[in-house]
Amino acid sequence: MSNKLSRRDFLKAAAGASGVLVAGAANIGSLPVLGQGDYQGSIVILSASAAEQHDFMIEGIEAEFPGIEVEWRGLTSERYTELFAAAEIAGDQIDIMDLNGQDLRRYAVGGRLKDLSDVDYLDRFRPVGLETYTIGGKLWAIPNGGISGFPFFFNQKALDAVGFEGDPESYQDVVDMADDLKAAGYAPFTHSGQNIYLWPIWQFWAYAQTSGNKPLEGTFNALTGQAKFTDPDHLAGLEILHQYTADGLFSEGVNSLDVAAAQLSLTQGTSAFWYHHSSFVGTYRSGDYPNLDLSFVNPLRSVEDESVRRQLPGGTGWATGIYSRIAPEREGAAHAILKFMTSDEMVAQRNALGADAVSTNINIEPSDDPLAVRYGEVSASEQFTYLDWYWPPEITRAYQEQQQAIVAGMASPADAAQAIQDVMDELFADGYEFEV
Amino acid sequence: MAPLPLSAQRKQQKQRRASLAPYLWILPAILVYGIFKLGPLIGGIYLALLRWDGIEEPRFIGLRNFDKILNDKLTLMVLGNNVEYAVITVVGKIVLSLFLAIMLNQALRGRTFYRTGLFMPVVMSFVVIGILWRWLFNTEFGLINNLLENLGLGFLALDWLGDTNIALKSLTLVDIWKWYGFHMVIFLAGLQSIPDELYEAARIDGASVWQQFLHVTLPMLQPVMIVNVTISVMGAFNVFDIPYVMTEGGPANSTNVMALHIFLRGFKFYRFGFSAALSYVLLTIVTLVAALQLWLMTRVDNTE
Repeated sequence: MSNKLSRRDFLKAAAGASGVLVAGAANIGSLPVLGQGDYQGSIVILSASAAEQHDFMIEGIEAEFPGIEVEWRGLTSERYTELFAAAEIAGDQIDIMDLNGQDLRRYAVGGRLKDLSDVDYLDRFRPVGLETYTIGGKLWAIPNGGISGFPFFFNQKALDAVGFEGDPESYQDVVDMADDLKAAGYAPFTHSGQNIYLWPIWQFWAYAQTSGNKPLEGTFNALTGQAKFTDPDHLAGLEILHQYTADGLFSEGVNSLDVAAAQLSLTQGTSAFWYHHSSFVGTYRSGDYPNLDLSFVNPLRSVEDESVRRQLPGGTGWATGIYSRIAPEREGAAHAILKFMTSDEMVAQRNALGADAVSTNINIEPSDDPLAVRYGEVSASEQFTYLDWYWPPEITRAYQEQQQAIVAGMASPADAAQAIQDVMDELFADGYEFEV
Repeated sequence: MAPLPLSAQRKQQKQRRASLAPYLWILPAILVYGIFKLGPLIGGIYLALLRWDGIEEPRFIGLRNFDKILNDKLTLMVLGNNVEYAVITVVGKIVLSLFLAIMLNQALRGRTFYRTGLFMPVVMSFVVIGILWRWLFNTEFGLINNLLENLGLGFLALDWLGDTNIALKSLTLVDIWKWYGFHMVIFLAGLQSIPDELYEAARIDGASVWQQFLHVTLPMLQPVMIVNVTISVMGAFNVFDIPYVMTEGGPANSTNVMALHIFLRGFKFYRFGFSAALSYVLLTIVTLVAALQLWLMTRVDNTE
């Protein structure tokens, strides 16, 4: 008998061996959550945030798990997708993904994250965070950090200068004081209109009001084709922006302001209101701004119906999960590290880093800064998830472009809404599907 | 056949080695060019035929990406922005740099200092320049508007980057400022190679300064003019950094240009296939424009 292996035999043997390997790997993949086990070596965390900011976490993990070496690769939020794709194609080791919340959906739906629904420590988190990272009934990431959002910041000194008493509550309040503010040297509003995300965020709060406090439901309907961005509730959100513009409430050149320029306008006392992220409280506390006495309110009521709540968009911390194609020998360690990374001890430090007002973890006390405490009391309960965590990025960009066009007087709200819906229709034609 | 004598054999070997030497000298450059330029250029063709978002399995869709580009209104608008950008920056850079080169070719005190100073923006980083000019253009705190107002020219203070009619022109100003020094140096080299005898002869024939410029300087500068115009046209069609840093393509796409459009489609919308297809469209346009321009300019040169 010849010892030669024919090509066919070789292929059969290879197929058989592959089958055994695949079956084995699948079996390992379905094992329940393990401890660190015997794994000694490196664990790679692909994070949207920088390693230098997380020395405490890297050192904490390495102390807690002797023999484990953490390689924290800070890809940055803006470049996460491209660098993740490059790492994956190159066959780099990937174990834990520490994502910006807005990218979670992409990786969950794309099958790159493990289902974490059955982990045994979910009771340490506020439900809103878990709900946010649940897609299709499964939990894909653990909320990790602070619950934060976008209230309307204002300079109390500006309001004092025009004799306005109490907190402003409605659009009409600002319209009524606008002329006096301008006479006192304040533009009523400044806004970072150049930034790709920040006009869309303006639409989020406006749409929360025009949708009768159903921003997520309305968004899901538009993304599944059951409703359109040209429907009256979406259009009314754009009309609010148009109204603010038509009444001359924005500072000059608002479309060209980046975050630093808009912040300067508020801190130097040349604008009265700024719509920005709650982390600005931390910036304010660490700086010296003699022209600014910072305060905030939830977004001003800008619809006639007084029963509508003044909700604000926000997020629920970083979304930290396990890479679905993790090598089986590292999976137990990755799970144990994830549990440690989202522990009260670690999250409290992450909260301090971000000057968070409210933590994703129930047992962590928010900051005792009066503004942070106020955010926790007045704003956190009115928070809903940023709509661009659900929107495809094309819609975010389309909103940004069209809102800039409204502010520049180049497009009516109806034209803008139609242009946005055209982008959505194109996505549908390309096979886009949204999973709730 | 009788073998060649030893000396002849050695001569032949030497000749062979000598004829091989140039190829060996350029081999490293060819390798680098092949690996980092030609390889991706050829490999990218396949990517342009795919639908791929970096997550799901790539799907072959033939020429559909190219078909979409032809029907994409935004791409047309963005190309229009590139053309406007090219016209303004090429004219601006050539006129300004030629003028400065002629000035600095004169016997002038402190000439080296001026040459160095005017060249400075060329060596500065795009990001630094973008941020610097963004602040200069700031409507409220910017130096330009404040200067105009303090000079009693407040009516000239504009929303430089926020007005859709002005923003692109503001960016071209920055581009011209960044690059005129580079073109100036090339023109200077060209000017210094023009023999003085030609000017002497022109003067003897009674030519005025303007006539000397038109009939001696400009024709003699034709080769460097071709280089300068070609570089600035290609630069204008490939521009990315300045719009990206200063306006992100806004407001309302008024400063969006092809390279930024490609970047956004690829790395913000994750349409890698579409983005690759757009890159080939840009490559074709730049190649055609450069070829046409070279042909036209060489033709003018030959006619003269």
